[in-house]
Amino acid sequence: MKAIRFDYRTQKRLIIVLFTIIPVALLLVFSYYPLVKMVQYSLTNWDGFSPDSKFVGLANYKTIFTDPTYFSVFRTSLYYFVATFFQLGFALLFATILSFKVKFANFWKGVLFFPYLLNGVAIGFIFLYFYKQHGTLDTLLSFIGLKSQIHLWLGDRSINNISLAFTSIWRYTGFNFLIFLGAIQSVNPEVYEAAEMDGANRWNQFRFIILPSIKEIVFLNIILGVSGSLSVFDIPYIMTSGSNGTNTFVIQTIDTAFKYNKLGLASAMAIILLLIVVVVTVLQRIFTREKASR
Amino acid sequence: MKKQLALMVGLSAALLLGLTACGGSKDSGATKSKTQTITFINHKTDWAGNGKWKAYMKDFNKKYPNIKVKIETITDYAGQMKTRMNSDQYGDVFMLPDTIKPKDFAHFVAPLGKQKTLEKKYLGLTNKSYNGTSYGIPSQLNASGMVVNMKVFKDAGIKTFPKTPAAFIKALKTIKAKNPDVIPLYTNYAAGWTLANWDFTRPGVVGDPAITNKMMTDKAPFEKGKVMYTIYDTLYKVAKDKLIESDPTTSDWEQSKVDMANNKIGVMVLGSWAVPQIQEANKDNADNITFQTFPATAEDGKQYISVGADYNYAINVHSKHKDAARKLINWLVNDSDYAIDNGGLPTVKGAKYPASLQGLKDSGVTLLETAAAPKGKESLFSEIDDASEIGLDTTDKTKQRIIEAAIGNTNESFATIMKDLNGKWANAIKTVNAQ
Repeated sequence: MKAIRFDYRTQKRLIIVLFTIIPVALLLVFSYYPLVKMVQYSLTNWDGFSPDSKFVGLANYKTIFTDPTYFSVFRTSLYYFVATFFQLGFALLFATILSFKVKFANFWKGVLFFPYLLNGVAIGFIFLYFYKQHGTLDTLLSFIGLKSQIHLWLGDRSINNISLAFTSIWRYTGFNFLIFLGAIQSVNPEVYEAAEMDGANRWNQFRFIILPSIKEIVFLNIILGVSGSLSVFDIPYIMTSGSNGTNTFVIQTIDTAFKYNKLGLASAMAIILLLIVVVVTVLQRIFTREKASR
Repeated sequence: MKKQLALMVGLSAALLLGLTACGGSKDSGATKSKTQTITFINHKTDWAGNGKWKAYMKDFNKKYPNIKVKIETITDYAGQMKTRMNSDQYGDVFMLPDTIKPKDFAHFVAPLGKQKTLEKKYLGLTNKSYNGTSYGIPSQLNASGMVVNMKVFKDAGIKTFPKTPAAFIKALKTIKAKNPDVIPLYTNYAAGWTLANWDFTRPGVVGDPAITNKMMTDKAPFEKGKVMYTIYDTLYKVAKDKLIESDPTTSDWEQSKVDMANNKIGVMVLGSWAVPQIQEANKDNADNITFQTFPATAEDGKQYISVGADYNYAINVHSKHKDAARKLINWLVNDSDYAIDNGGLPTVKGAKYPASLQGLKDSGVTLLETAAAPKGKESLFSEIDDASEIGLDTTDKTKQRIIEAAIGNTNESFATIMKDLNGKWANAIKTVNAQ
């Protein structure tokens, strides 16, 4: 048999097709097909298992937009949104410190990044026992003589969302830290040397060298924080299952689908969340592109 | 290269053949030696862990050596089964999830017989019957009321369990005053599903087996003087007077069983199935763990306790071994100790009561079985309940809301909550009837 010979271009195309066919197929089957189905469900009153369902048009969307209870839960997201700035602050602080010469730099990097590697469920349980009455935090506070400061960290409605948002900070700071560190390290070290010779201190270096060169990344992280705080789910779901004023939009969607058996309505809620996140992302694209072209 | 390819093709062909051969031999083997393998999916994960299911199936095989049963247990049973039932792979025998509406039974489940015929032998068939045909047989019946640690009550000088909500709250206050370390009533707020037990007690509290049917047309079932108001009012008052755990948000179900067994908790609102689980936690104290009806007396001056079906055994409509599956169900219901072992009332009429319920019956409490829904309206109650998003019998949100208001986490008054519930319920009746 004579071996078939392809020219270089055909070979290249063939390889591209072969390498992309599996991921594209996976993407279509597990991402886009379910999405199409979800849009379809959102136009019905399907309960999640019944063999028949009725087409109700846009009634589900109308319900969500006319009943204020469905949108009021976005108030909880504000806590996480505010927390995003603390998270970015900490991440930037540590990234800057570690970009200078520090002893055991790799060890500290590991310590900071470690929480992000933990599973969300595990983190939920760790902090559940941490905040519990007579739990780790209470024990610690009474040990250092701050017994009067003990609260029901998850039971007290005025602070429980802050407790949860703090958990979220603890979890995601490492991730932001790593992105910042990467961006900072891409700055040419000679610039620092030059700055030092000119008598710039660390603060000046941060203010006039580091911050301007990673501005885009900071902005990107803020946008990620916005879409993240809109779709908070696992930490409050595991720790309080959305009770006592900690309900988020995603938890509410799950409850609607699986507790009240309104899968159609829940699909509509999911689609709306998706659209909001898409809008936020598009805005981010527009802003960053403008800056880049300037 | 060519050789390799040939090898690959040959290998995969062989594999494929082997696979089909496997499938084939299984089928032919089943018909020849008549050994059938069926799968039984259920929620009893603890029994899979402690070997109880294995022992049960050993017993079963003594009677039916030709039926091999594969037990599969799922922790989040109701949730996972619902998704799984969209396919046809949900075992041969399984526990019928409560979310399946009666009008859809025939689509998922093989009929087990005429309700009239089966009723002569079994209790609690009303829930899973549709148009006179039964689609499930209850694994056991549960009484809904309170698990009570009588030692805690006696230590506080209370000899008999109270019979009215007012006396009940007074008793809990006495317990709290006499022994501040004891939690008089543990709500299990965080576990969530536990709170639905408050709703289950309603036929017993009012002494009316048809109360649920009446709620389908009642546009204000949460009005003062009606049963749901009485139940929720008791919950509200108990929470308001700080007679519950001090941090409900982080309450722990597994720990609560141990604490009650060790006299640290007075009362928990649960089903009779919980009694053996708590007794197990401290065998020396088992005698003090009793089951009582909700502390209320019906208008006729008598006390009742509602009894309802637990999960029902059902047969997958797609099953290829329906006969074998039916044999397993019959054995579980008629011959096994499943109900007694789980603290429930056996489904077979005239069978022996578990000790905890026998005591209750002896003390003059009448066991009340829920009345059947009117014909053609079997799905109506759950449809209204879902539409209202109150989650009566099913979820925790409303009960959690009442507790939150009572302990001062929200500014809602009890009257406002009841008014809101009435409004939601009335609206839901309107929406469902309009469909």
